Amino acid sequence: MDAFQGLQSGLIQAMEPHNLLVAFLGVFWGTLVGVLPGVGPVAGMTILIPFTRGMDITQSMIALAGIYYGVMYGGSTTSVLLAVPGESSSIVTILDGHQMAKKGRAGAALALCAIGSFVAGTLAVFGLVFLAPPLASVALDFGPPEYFMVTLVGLSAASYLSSASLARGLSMAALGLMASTVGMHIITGNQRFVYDRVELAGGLEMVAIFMGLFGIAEVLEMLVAPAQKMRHEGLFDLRRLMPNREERSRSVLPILRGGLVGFFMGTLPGGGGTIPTFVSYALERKISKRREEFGKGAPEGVAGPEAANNAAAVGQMLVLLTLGVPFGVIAAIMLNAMIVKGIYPSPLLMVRNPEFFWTVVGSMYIGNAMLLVLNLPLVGIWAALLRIPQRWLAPFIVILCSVGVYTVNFNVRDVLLMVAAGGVGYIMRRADLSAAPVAIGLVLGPIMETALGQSLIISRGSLLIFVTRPYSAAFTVLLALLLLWPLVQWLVGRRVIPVSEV
Amino acid sequence: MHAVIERGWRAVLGLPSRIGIKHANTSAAAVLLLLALLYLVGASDLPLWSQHNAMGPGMFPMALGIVLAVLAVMIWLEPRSRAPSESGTQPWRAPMIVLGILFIYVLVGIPLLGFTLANFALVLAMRRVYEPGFWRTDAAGSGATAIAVHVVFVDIMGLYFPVMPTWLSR
Repeated sequence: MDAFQGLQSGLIQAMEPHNLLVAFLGVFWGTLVGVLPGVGPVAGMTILIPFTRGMDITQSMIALAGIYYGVMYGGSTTSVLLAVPGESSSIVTILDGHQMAKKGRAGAALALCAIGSFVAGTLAVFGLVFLAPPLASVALDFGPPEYFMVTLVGLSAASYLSSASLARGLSMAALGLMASTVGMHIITGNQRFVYDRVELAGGLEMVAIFMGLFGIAEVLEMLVAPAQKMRHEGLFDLRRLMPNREERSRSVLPILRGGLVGFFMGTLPGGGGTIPTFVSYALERKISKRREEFGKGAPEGVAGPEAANNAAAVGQMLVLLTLGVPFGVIAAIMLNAMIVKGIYPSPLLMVRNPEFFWTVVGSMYIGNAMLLVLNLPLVGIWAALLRIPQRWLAPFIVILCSVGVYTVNFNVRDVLLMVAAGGVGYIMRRADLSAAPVAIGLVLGPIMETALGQSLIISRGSLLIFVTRPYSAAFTVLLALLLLWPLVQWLVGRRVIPVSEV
Repeated sequence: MHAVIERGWRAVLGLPSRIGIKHANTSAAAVLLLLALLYLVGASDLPLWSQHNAMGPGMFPMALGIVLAVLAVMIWLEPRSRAPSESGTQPWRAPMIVLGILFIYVLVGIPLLGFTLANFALVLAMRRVYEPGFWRTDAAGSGATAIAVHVVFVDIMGLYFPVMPTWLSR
């Protein structure tokens, strides 16, 4: 089955009524979560994971992908209307999106977010379709040493870029890896860190930890975050929803450029989240002939970053589906969802499960289209949701998290673990320690340890295997550069500016 | 010379330009170091190698523990790179109260009251912490929320929850 046939078949599957319904529910829920202040994309996805357990794996992935797109759009809504980023990758949208809203162009700004996301996402999906087969064929040469190194590079990059410093990020990644060692050792069957507790024999429940670190910690954070009030009530008129001719013409090239930047950055370790949006904004500002308008309502400042945001998500999916390696927290959550269902992403996924692979790809396009068609008319509802007080929202989130975690194993101890993780997550936030590397480490731990063990068997205990094989050596060099990058920048006279990511 | 070494060290750690050496990270570093040491103690009971010189169950944990210990020391040495988050006057009291409410909800509320009543108590307690209103309003809202959750998840979705207190079902 070639790429075109695969995409065609995937689109047909994705447009089955039950899959369309799941995609709609995912996009709707994702937008709802993205709009609600204080609930991030990770929390939103983890809350829904247990409820996807009754679905088959394809529908689960469709739902999760829909949630992801929806969250990004919902985050843009709060950025434009409230000047509050719904999630970290919407920060840049505030710079010009909120300014457009102040000028009475809120509808146009939101439309640019949706249109930019749709166009760039569509192009990125085509990029995925045509790059996935060659990338998978290269990855077929990957053995355990390559998998160990690529996961180590991905984890290190994501940790560094999401934290205030290299040491802080890597320490959180180490914590996640340590948590993944609880339970039975995959290779030898030994019980580790169980201490005769039966409930620990199967390891720590990841969903409970994710929900605690991101969901419960967010709820606790609401108590100390300054109250967000609506700064700009309206000039929001559905009749003025669409951008005018000038705004449209100024947005076309930024959308295309943003899509390109975002897609390729999304395929890099740690390249998702906030970074593509900042890069796109900086690029548009640099090459624009109306540079003085940036920060005052330039449509390019909205269209480009939003396009980059959505395209980066597709780029991350490309790597996840072809290599089976998550380069971000969202991808790690999706990987966990796949593993639970018995699907192990790898270069052979397209061959072994072509229907699943192409249906997921097709649903990404469908989800994008739904976002555009459904969310713009519903934007009045999203604006109303912004007024939900925290005293209603916080208990609702807690109950939803509790219900979700409990239904994983029908065990109250998982809820207890979630609450404990929530406390730890809150303490980490106060200490400027990011929880994202913990989550990624938790998911990647078993993969890394297995790959390391197999590599040492192949090499009869020698670590030189990681530098003697070509791909592995390349990843080793990349890792070394990453770890030494702050020093390199110092030597060439630049300052290091870490970028925080939720 | 000392300034050059210090700037280089901060560059290795990936930190912005000099602010001054402070030990504001001591608590984080101490906790991480303690965790690393406890983890290493646990890992020391596991064999490093298994049959045919394959990696044993203890090798990966041992390596992780050592790495975390080293990183904890690095965090302790780095100066605080930015001011603590602007988070209001009391970043600990209210969140710890809510955390306590959550622990009571799980450990005592669900077994003693059952899922639905425990949800009612949870929502009521949390609303009193977040933004207390009139008691009657809060109680009515909490009751409605608990009933709605019961209807949606237990009646409509058919999920199993320990609705009744455990001491009643024995």
